[in-house]
Amino acid sequence: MIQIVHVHKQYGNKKAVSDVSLTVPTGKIFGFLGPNGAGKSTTIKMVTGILPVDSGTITVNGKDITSDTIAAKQEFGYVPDSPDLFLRLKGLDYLHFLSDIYGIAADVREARIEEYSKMFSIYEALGDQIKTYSHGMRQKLFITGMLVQQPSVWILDEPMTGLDPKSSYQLKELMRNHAANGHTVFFSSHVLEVVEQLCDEVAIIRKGELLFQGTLTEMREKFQSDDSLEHIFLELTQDA
Amino acid sequence: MHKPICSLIRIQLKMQYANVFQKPSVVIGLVFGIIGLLFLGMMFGGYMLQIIDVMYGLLEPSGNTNVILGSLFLMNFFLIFILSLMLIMNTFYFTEDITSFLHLPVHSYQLLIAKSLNPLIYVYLLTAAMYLPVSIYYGILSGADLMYYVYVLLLFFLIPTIPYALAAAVVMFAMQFVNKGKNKDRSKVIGGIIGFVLIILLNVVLRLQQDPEQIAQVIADSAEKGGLLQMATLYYPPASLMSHILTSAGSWQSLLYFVIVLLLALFAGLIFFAAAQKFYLKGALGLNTGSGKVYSGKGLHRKPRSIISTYRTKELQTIFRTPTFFLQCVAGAFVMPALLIVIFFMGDFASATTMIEGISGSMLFVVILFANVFSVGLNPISIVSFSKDGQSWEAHLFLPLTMRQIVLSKLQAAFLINLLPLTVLFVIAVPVIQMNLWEALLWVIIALFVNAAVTVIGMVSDLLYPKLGWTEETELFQNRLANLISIVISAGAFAFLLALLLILKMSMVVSFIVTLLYISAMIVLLLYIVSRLLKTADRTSLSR
Ligand SMILES: Nc1ncnc2c1ncn2[C@@H]1O[C@H](COP(=O)(O)OP(=O)(O)OP(=O)(O)O)[C@@H](O)[C@H]1O
Ligand SMILES: [Mg+2]
Repeated sequence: MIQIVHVHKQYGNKKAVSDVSLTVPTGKIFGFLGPNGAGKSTTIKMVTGILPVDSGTITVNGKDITSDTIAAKQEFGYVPDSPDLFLRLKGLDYLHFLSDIYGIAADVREARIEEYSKMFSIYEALGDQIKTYSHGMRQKLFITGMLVQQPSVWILDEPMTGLDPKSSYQLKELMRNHAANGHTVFFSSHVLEVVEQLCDEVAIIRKGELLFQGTLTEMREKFQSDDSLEHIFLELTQDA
Repeated sequence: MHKPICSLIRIQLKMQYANVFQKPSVVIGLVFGIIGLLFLGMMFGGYMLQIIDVMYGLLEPSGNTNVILGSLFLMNFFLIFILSLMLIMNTFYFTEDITSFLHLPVHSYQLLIAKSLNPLIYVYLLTAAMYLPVSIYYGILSGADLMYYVYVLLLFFLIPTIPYALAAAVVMFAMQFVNKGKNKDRSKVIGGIIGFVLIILLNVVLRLQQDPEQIAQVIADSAEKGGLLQMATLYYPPASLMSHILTSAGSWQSLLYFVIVLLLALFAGLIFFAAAQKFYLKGALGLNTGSGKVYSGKGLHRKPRSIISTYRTKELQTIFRTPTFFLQCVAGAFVMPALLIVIFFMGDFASATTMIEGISGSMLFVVILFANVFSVGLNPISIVSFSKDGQSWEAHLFLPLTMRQIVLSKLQAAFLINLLPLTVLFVIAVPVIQMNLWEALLWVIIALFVNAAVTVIGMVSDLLYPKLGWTEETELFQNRLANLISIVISAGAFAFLLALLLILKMSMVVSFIVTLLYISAMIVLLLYIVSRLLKTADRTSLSR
């Protein structure tokens, strides 16, 4: 479970996130929606401890990211939106590095690395430097890293962008399983079909302000419309 | 046609120098740096001018003084040629950002002229430091008129172009073969090492004769046999043309020679152009690609490691696999000890041994400490401890790592890399100086402590002035305030110790103990500063 309470964030004079409060429950897939520049990545970076919050609190499974940082970070795995990290490491080195940090036992990690890297067809490239990977391959490597870690909370920033249909399908299946097992999945996206198929609950953010949080049905009720999600989304996020 | 060049230059200036001059700390650092450079320049320049003075006196009777200018041009040519080889290899091929320009609809020569901005700054700085003082001093000695100085200035702009263009052509020609090679990262490293070896060789040659009188005598001798200027001409014809221009400045003949030199520079430019158009893309395209081998499953099973040990491994892997870091921090580690030995002992083993025998007790420590501090202190590895992560720094923010773990593992990695120059120094020095085992042991202990202290100093300065927003690795080693700070701090701290030891004139064992106490106290103090820094500065503030 992730709890975000009255969180503010400003870049210089520019408000990126203002007074956002939301709860990402366990056992559900939670989608975080909004147009470009709405503040999705900024929020996610505050949740993961990459950016400090200006005010407000964020807890992951009850652990405060500001005061109990390391314990909170043990709880989640994160796939960044631009996976251009550790470019000089080989794929395998990165996975071992991550496993060491999260203390994954030797035989467990071996099995998981093999299973998931084969599932996402990056197994053959594990001996190469990440620098030589394509964008999608890098993303799949980071997803594999998260799967090797198997944290209870998954945080993914636009995970489907750049994935081919097969990998995208597999990731969705994995996300469903993870939520069904009583865990937390929190991801951002602007691909509406994905959200419609996948999410149990959504939150919509625009210009740093939270417009809505609830299930898809609640959203349709609230906005009194049987329209497609796309229509609602367009209406919600258009410049008013 | 020149529009693309201008905009390419502009974008590079923006990427590399934007915002540099806005912080007051940077300006202060630059001022100190310039003062330091002036000081060095005065020391070196004084030495050079002394040589010239003596030479002029020796050569004047026979009217052969133009040999001075000839050898100046010749030396300048070689130095710039070698410096350019290194700079060009780095900026044209091994930088990360080169791929982001390759798809633009510009000619290779346009891109490369724009890319030459940085190397040319270095090349002209070197020329200014070497050529201007000597030629001006020569002018004063010979009582030259205004035309002489006009030509001095005109030639200043022409001199570097020829060796630079030739070096570029050589590199471009060679790199097409490197690119064909199977293991490209390795070829890069080999290329870099060859460059370093060339520099060492040059240094040996320059250092072989250290006494100014001696050097002057040798040059004068060979000049009297009618050798040197002809020799210079043989290696590099423009050298004698250029010295003729200066010595007979004002005559028609020198104008004619100047036109010839100008044409030669243009010709070199043409070679640069041709090499760029013909060879550059063949060498650059696909240079940064992987091995393409299919992963075999090797190393899938690995014993879990502690966080610090896995992080340290990651650091070392990154350093060894990034050509720029490898060259600067690992290969560079071998250059310093070699240079030091050349500088201190000029390859003359016998006199080195007697020299060492002549010094005893605290003085030996002074010499050794000096060598240690310089060889470790000049290795930039700890100075880029944090900066070298660049974009990847972000990962430290979401992974469950404490700052203590990160700092400790980075310190360990830097310490290990810094052991390289010490080992080399030791392996070379023991047979050369013929230290006894007891002294050698004391040295090793001191060296380890010095290493630790200098490593921590470097890291502190990087913590204070990190540079994470680089687009290519070489930027890390240019205009870095942190380098300067750490060198100033290490030199200052150890100068104090040296002064103390010299004043006290103690026996070896006592100096050993004093030194050890001093350095340990320094390490403790530094670690305290680090922990304070980490408490006040939250690590996200590193990402400014
Ligand atoms: N490092 C930064 N410095 C200054 N402003 C920033 C920075 N990062 C983001 N912003 C600003 O904060 C706002 C929110 O950006 P954010 O990256 O959170 O958007 P997003 O919802 O993730 O958009 P996208 O869908 O394009 O990924 C934007 O207006 C952006 O300009
Ligand atoms: Mg985003």
